[in-house]
Amino acid sequence: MLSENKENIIGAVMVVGGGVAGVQASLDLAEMGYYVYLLEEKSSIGGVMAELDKTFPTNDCSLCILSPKLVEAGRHPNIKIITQAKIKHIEGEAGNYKVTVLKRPRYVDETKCTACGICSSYCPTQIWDTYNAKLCTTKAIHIDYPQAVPTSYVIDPDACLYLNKQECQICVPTCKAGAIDFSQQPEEKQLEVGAIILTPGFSPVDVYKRNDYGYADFPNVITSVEFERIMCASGPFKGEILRPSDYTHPHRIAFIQCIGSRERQHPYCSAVCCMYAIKEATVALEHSSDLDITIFYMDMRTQGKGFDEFFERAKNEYKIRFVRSRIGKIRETENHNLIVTYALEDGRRLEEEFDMVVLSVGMEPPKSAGELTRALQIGQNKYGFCLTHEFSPVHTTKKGIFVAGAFQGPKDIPESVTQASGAAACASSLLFPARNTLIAHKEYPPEKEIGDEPRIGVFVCHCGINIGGVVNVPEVRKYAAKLKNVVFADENFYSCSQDTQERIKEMIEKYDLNRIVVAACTPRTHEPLFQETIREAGLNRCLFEFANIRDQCSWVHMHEKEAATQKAKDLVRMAVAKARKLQPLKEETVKVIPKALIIGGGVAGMTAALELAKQGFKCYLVEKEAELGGNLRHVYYTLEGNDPQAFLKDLITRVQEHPLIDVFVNAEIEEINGYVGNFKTKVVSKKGGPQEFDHGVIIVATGGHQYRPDEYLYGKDERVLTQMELEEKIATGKIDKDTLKNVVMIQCVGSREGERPYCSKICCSHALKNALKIKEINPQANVYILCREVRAYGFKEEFYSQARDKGIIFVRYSKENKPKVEKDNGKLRVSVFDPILQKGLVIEPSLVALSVAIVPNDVRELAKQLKTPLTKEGFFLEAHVKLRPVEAAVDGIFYAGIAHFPKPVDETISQALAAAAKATVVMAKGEVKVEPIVSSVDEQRCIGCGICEKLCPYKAIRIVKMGKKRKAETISASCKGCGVCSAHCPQQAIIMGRFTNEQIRAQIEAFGKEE
Amino acid sequence: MAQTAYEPKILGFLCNWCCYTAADSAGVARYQYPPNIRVIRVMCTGRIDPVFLIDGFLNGADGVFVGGCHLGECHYISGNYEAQFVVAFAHEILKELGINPERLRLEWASAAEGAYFVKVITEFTQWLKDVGRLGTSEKIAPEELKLKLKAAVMALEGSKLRMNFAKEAVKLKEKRERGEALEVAVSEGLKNTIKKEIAFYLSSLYLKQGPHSVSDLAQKLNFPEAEVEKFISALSKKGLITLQQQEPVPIYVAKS
Repeated sequence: MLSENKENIIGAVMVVGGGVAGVQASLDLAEMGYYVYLLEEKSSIGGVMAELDKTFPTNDCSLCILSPKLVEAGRHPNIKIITQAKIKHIEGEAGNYKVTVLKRPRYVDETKCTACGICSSYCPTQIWDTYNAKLCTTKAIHIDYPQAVPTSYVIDPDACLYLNKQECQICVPTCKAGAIDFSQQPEEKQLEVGAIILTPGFSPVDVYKRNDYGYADFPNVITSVEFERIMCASGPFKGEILRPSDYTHPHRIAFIQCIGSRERQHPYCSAVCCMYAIKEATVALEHSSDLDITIFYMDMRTQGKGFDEFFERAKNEYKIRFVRSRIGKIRETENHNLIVTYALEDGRRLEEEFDMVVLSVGMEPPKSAGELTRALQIGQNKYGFCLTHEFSPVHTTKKGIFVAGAFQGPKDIPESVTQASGAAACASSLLFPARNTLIAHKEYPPEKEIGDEPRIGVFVCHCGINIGGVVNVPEVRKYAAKLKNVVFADENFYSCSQDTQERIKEMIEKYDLNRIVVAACTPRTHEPLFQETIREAGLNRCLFEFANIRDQCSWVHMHEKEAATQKAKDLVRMAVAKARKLQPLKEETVKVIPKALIIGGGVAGMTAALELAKQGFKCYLVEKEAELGGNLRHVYYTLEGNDPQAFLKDLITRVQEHPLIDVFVNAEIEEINGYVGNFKTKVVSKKGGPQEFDHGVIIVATGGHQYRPDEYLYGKDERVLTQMELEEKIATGKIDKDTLKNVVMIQCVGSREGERPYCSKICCSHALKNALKIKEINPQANVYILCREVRAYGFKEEFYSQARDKGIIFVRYSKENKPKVEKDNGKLRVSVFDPILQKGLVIEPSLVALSVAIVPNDVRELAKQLKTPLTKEGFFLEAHVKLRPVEAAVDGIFYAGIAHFPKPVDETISQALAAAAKATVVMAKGEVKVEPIVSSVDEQRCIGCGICEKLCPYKAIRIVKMGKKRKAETISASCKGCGVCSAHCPQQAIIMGRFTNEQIRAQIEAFGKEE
Repeated sequence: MAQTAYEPKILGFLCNWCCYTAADSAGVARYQYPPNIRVIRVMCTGRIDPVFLIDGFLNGADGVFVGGCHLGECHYISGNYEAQFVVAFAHEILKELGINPERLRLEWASAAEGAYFVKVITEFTQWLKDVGRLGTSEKIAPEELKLKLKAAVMALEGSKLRMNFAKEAVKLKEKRERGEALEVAVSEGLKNTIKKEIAFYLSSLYLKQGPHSVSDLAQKLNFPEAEVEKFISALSKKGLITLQQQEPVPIYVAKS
């Protein structure tokens, strides 16, 4: 029961688990106005994603996209990261929990450690490096990985000589920062929070204990986790693919799928292994194209957005061999090669030799699951994951405690990130009366007046040996010191360390510096850090310029030290030339109208609207049909056995009765104008006529519909139905037992081919659901499911097993050899080739059900209005596949449900909640900061020609009347700073913040001229 | 004459989101490539003003490289389509100046394509080594080259050429949005404007160097006398040149 007294509600949330889900939830909550305690068992946050080399399906570098989020969480004033900690006990109720937390000692003071690493080089005790899957060693005092947050070393108490034998302590005098502290003791703290979000992630199945396929005995049988580290540039072999037995390059590599998944001990599917195996295989081939890779699998479950295309490319472009088979056993040859015995579908048994075997290990509940659920008194499902309900996927069994990520069930990064935001939304709607009560706002000194004369400070970074080992840093510093307007030049061991930040501030003060150049790694990751530092010293953030002398210099010219030093000098000279022209820019903010437009009144739209309305935000919900409910109106039962109609009825009632939600049915969007915070939309409905309203955000939940097939006699014979039609007939009793005696279901109708190369994700479950229902009604019925693959991912695998147990027959067909449906003398006849029996099957069914593709509703016009891109299949394209799965590239617009990609109802609800969370962030803040990289117009030069207005991709510049003349005007809040307008302005009248013509021309000139 | 070994200077413009990131990720992966490129980071290739590209050559680049996101993947929706036309336009200018347009190269590399970035830069550097310093393969004397590039930069700063170019960019964008088949090419009309504008500014530069008659200029510019007459009258109107002598033929010179 939520505290009645609103004053008792605590505006803080505890997030348990610092993987990508936990970090996302923390950032969302902190941005919404709650204080966050982020608890992590290990010594740094980042979780499994930090251990990955690449992420599918884009093969993006995992750490590169994660690291900025970790840094952001690390320096957020309203996120307190508590590492090496776990929950011991809780008391209280939703809205007001008292949590007892136990923190293990780190023996290193996080606030003092500069992560210089000298302690580690002296430490005599080697331990297995768990970050590198124990493929190499590290020291008892170590840091998990170089980019770890908090950026602090830690002592392993099990290995440290001093802690075990009271000897050594050599690290203490080596630490110049005095950070090592052996007096630390375990600490117990009591923290008060209103809600808890659980994101402890998962554990990979322990194949060592089980000795799967000789893993424990054969050195060249490794896990996918180990292979991930092996391929990583920062891994044990520096990114070279070597096999552990003899450190030679393997040539033939086999992946074996479903290790610890879809088996007795783990009867569920881990949902991500097919994709990561394909990813690892393709990345390996990018390392060395002469690899010969085979993936042994049961079903390729590549059901997500862009996943099937990835699979097809792996087959066709990368020439990875996919073998549907069952693995018998593996034995080792004398030279540690591996002989894999496997059985094909047709029963043939084969043997093949490989140099290395990778086991695609599945996901288990995290090791801490038992302890955590006991401490919180929440339920676990039968597999040990957190118990949730299909229609409330982020709620645990206890009010005020939410869950996200793999602990809720096996899932990939985008789904984890989505759920994390969803859980944050739910916590927020519980605690909103206490929003902004516990947060701190960072205070900055006023900005200094800067004189006309540039006084530039240059800080050249050694980056340990990363730069200093190649580039002659002292020489670069000396060179910089001689450049015009440079008053101070410095070199630092690590420019990003906390002590250098202090030094930069001091030097700004001492030398009255008014522009700062840092020559170090890359602005993409570290510019915000230095900008923050100079701002703290009273300089405007825009008085900063970066010279990239690591990622684009020392790292890529490692063997050409002189040339690299020359290049570093040139880059510094160019940066200084630009710095001379830098001007302070005002950070503008625009007010946000705290109202939301939600397009689409299906489950996604209604869920999002309700979640926002609960927090006091006005919502306009626009539905094109006559009633709310969308596709779920035609769903009568779910695979999991729940009643969607009851759920839907309740949801519709709550939406309709909510005073803050205005519902428009039979309504269409006619026009949308404006930008984040300030949209204006015109809606036309059949009844009410046109209406116009202002709002600050948009949630797009436009949904999709069934593909209408023209194959398999659909529309020509009434016994051929879609699954949805069949379901409706069954549920409404319009079909009798006899008609269901002989049913053939055909999968992938209109999916995974031609115009729709994607997997529609929900059809396998739909077929299983209807097949099981038929068996329930008529246990004697023959049900055949003709499929290309059974994609019963996650916990749905259980129903696939059930279906087989009940005698439902699965026959695989290939894209090239599809089943045929014919009519002969009034009888339906289905023929298909059975690869197990190796012969054609002919069935005379009483009914044929087609699992048809899901296609997006036609939103091309809407997308144009919103300025948001669509995929070639017509789904909305998210801002970032992995980390921004519900956000549009255009600020203030979010996606949920099938508009983004086909998905089942639980995933739709998670996504709708996530969209609500993102919308909440914008509205709760009440204003949006505009990056000062936007354009502005020099009115004197502008002739009002309107070229800029026509070319702007964001409608962010427009022609207005100023007196008698027409002039261009930037809408700062919409402008993203691309600069297309400026590059094309006939008058060169458009100024791009931080990228002015003058600045770039100065860089070009400095490129050509030594000073 | 044997080519002396030289190290080409390359100026790069990389967009923050894709190609710059690709270049960074090449570093993260420790891929090695020749140290000839100096990069200017822009948020989007759409930011790249054609004048930047030509100015790069004027400031001593033997090659200029533009790297953006793959078409359809632009962080700013369509900035790279715009860049594609900017580069096509700059190519025409280089051709007009007698410079091998391949010295200006446009490539797409996604954030993940560090290796591809390395391949492209390595090849481009090698190609520039093979083809030689700017001007050598073109057989244009350094002074002449500089003057021509200067004229092109002036033309690109002038509103006439810019307006014509920008209008064509708008047309192309509208075509693209209608879904029409797209050929990113510079129209004959715009090519003519390029020719004329460069010739115009070049004649002003020649006149700065010393007195010329209309036919002197026409010969140097390889341009019809009638057109040159027009330049002369435009320059006179602006008060930039003066008539040095009337007889036997009128000779003009820039005002000091």
